[in-house]
Amino acid sequence: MSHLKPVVGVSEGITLLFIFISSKVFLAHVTFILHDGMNASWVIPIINTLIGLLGVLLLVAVLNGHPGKDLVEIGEELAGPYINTLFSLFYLAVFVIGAGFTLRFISERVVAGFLPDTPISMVTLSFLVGTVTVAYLGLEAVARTARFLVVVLVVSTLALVLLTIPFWQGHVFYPLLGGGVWEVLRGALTTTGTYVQILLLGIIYPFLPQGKARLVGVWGVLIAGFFFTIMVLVPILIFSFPTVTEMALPTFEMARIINIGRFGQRMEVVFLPIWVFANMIFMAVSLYAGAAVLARLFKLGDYRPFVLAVTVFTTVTAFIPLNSAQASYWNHAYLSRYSFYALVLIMLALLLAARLRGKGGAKNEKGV
Amino acid sequence: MFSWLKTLSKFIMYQKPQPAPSVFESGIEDRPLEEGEKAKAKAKAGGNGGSDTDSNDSGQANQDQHQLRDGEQNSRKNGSRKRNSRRGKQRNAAIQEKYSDKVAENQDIDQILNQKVELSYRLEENKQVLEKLFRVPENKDAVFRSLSIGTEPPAQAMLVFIDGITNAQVQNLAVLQPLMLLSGARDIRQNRKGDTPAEAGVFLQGQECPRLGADSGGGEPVNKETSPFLDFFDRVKQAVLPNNQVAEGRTYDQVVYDVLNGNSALFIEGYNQALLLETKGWHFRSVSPPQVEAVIRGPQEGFTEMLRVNTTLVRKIIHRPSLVTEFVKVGDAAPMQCAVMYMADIANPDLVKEVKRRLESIRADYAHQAGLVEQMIEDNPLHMVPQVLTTERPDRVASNVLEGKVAVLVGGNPFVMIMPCTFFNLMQSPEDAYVRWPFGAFMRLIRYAGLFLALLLPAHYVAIVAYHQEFIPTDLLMAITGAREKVPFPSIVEVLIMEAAFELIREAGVRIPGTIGTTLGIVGALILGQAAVAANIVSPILIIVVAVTALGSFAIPNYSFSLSIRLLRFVYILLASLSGLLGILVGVFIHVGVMSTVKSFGVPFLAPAAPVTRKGRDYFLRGPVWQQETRPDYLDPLKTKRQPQISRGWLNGGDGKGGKERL
Repeated sequence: MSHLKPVVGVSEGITLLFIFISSKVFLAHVTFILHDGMNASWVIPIINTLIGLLGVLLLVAVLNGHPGKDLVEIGEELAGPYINTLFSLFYLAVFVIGAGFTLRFISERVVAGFLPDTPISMVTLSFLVGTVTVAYLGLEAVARTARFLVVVLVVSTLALVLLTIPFWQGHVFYPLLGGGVWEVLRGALTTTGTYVQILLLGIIYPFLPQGKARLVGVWGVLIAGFFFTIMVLVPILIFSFPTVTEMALPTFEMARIINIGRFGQRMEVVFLPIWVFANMIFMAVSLYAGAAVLARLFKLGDYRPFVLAVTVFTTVTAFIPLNSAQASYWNHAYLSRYSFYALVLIMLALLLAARLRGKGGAKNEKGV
Repeated sequence: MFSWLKTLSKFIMYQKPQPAPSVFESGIEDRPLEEGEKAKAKAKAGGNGGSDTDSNDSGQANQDQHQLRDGEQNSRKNGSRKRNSRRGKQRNAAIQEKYSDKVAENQDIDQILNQKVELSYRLEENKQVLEKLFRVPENKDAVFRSLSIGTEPPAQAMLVFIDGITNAQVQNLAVLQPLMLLSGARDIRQNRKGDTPAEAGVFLQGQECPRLGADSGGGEPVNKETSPFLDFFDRVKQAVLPNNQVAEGRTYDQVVYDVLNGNSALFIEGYNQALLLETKGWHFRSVSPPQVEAVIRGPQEGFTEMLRVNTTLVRKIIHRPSLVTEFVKVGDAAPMQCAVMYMADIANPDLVKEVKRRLESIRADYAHQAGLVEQMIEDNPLHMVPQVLTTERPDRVASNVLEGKVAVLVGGNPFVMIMPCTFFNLMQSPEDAYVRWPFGAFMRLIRYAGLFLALLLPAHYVAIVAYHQEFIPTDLLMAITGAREKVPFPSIVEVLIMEAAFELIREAGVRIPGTIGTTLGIVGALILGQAAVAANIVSPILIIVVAVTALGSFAIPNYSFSLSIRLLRFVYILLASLSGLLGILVGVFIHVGVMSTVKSFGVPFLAPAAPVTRKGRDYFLRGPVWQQETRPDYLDPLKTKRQPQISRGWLNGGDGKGGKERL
């Protein structure tokens, strides 16, 4: 059955997942973590990564019981159409809200930082044209684009980190656990929604090589965790707490302070591809995944008619907040705090339903 | 109470779960298969079950190939049906009526050729039919040379050929002279008196041998083991004509196509066969240095317009019996000979089959050049990037064929197509391999920089001047602003004027006769360099930008790819004028997205980077030659190992230790 064969390789799957999870480090997400964890905020991503790993293992346990099916189809089989509709709406909300608020925030930041005379509608349109085109071309196109551009992203990010080494201050580590263990732990447990994007694994599962979902999930979360930790830690090292909490876009500030002699000033333009590409990949994935959820929900074989529909939802969502600050705050409040628990509850419900119905629970990754 | 609501919601929301025919994948190849094709695909999948279940990254490219083939077969079938129905409607009734006799004659001729009518036993009848086929006497190219074979009694014969494309010396010495003068001396004791050779059979060593297919009279079958010749015709072929290649033709279409290819056809009275003699002899350019792919180190010979010379040039490099050259006729109205070359023990048979299938399926009046054939066989003809690698270097063809790729040589064209082709192939030059690897890698880096500059430098100029002035250092900004002070145009207009002028000069430079070529250089330099700046139409900085852009585009080693970059540069300039750097980045994002959907004979264009397949040491940069141990994985060759892990055997020193460890 050639049309059910994997079209996303392990490497592309990992890339897609880790960019989808971690692209928010280039936005204001880091600032909220810095508020929670103070100068020990870098511990929070580590704890979150461990929690994310558990979530991935749970998700893979659900998926492996039903080879060749994605999360929506599995939900339909196990929980029935009505309850699954609720589940699917949750998945859709994760994709649409995430993409919408990201679109608003990045558009505002581009206008503020790079195109002050350009209307935001023009900037938003530019982002949408790019992401809709690639999302429309399909999962293959999204995954391969992400894989091709990941080199630019990783190299630029590491350069951004390394070029700020002269500004690092060691003493900002102390007190080592900031406001205390409980504060850090509380901060971690209230920002687990950082990893709600592991949901993507459930949507692309049928197109991954058989038996590789766990590998993709675990590596995707680990690499995302690495970048989360780095991008939370480095701003603290440079700007120290509490100054760092006043920044809307810590990575932009990091780029601004880089100074390579008299000629190498205002280097932020060099790092513009990081913000643009990371968020465009995030949005393209969201549009594709949202359309895929809708297609499955409405039992249609083709996701493409829904791409434009999801784009409209996303654009509308993007312009509900009054400004970028509200967009990022809502994104944090609705997605980054407790949404992960909702996803875990759905996974547990599905696992329980599978056990009760005697379906799938005993199968391994190869469906045997 | 609310049962109707439940029923309604069930109707709207719920259907029995079915395996959805997935169109989540992209591209033409993912269209749902028709029933018949499904069965075929299933049968195929059953045959390759082992490889299907063993799914990994590297297998993906190959699966793309299979998928593509299935989908394309569908679309091609549909397409050909439509084409046939359309063809019927395209007749011009008025002109056909006016020249109905001509039309009828042409139809008769087509029928003779298409229905593969067999030759006659009678020489005169054969002559009449061939004169009709070659439109003699209007057509003066076709020559019908009557002769008598010097036997006793003489046998009547006729030699048919096209004047100008045959070698007269070969015809005289290797055909006419033996037949007319020497055949008697060779003691052909053939016929009984009064019998034609066909009626009689041949006497040989005291035995009577019936001619092929005829009743032997005595009822005894010919003993082929004891008789060296079957009959007179066979003897002429075996013992009289010293041509190096002789074939037999039994139908008019065989004879016609062979004669049109420069061979001579010998007809003998009483035989319904013709001897097709190798007498090709048209003029052609001799092997000379490549015109567009020059290298400093490496062989200095390029392909010519002669197909056979070209295949020889490749075979001269690869001395392996497994190098196969297959000939395929391409086109409808005037079929062109193409050679498909591949290594039978390395190339993926599916790839070879697919290349031949596409070539054989071409229906076109004029597909006589590599560029035309390329457009007919590429996967995505609407995409900008070339999906076939063209080269005029035999060494490049040889190295690619040894990797497991397939080469297609088109008669009359010095450019050879190599397939499949990826983005990284287009950025490679043979020179990379002929110098030591650090320099090869460095040259590639320079080339990628050239690609970046050719594609994006003018766009960056527009973006920075129009939107992001603050991003350049103050001194440089002052220099640019000062230079642009007197220019009345916005940056986009300025850039478009200069780029258009440069493209004009480049195009004119290609078309201009050589004798006045230097004039163009002077005009171009004056317009671009001095006059434009002096007239305050453009700024001097822009001259530098355009010049560097031009250098960058010249650094791209593939001409077709360079053309696509030239065109896309204007798209990026427009994007930059709309949204500055954001526009450029959005353009790059879409560009990469679209390129990731392109496939060349089923192989993703961005392989092995996206999708990731096993990489050798020769895709982005050039690695050491002794470390290039495997063939490209995305080709799925029959043999993946290119050379042993320790390819420099002398490092072993006979002690059995690995060379690498000793390094």
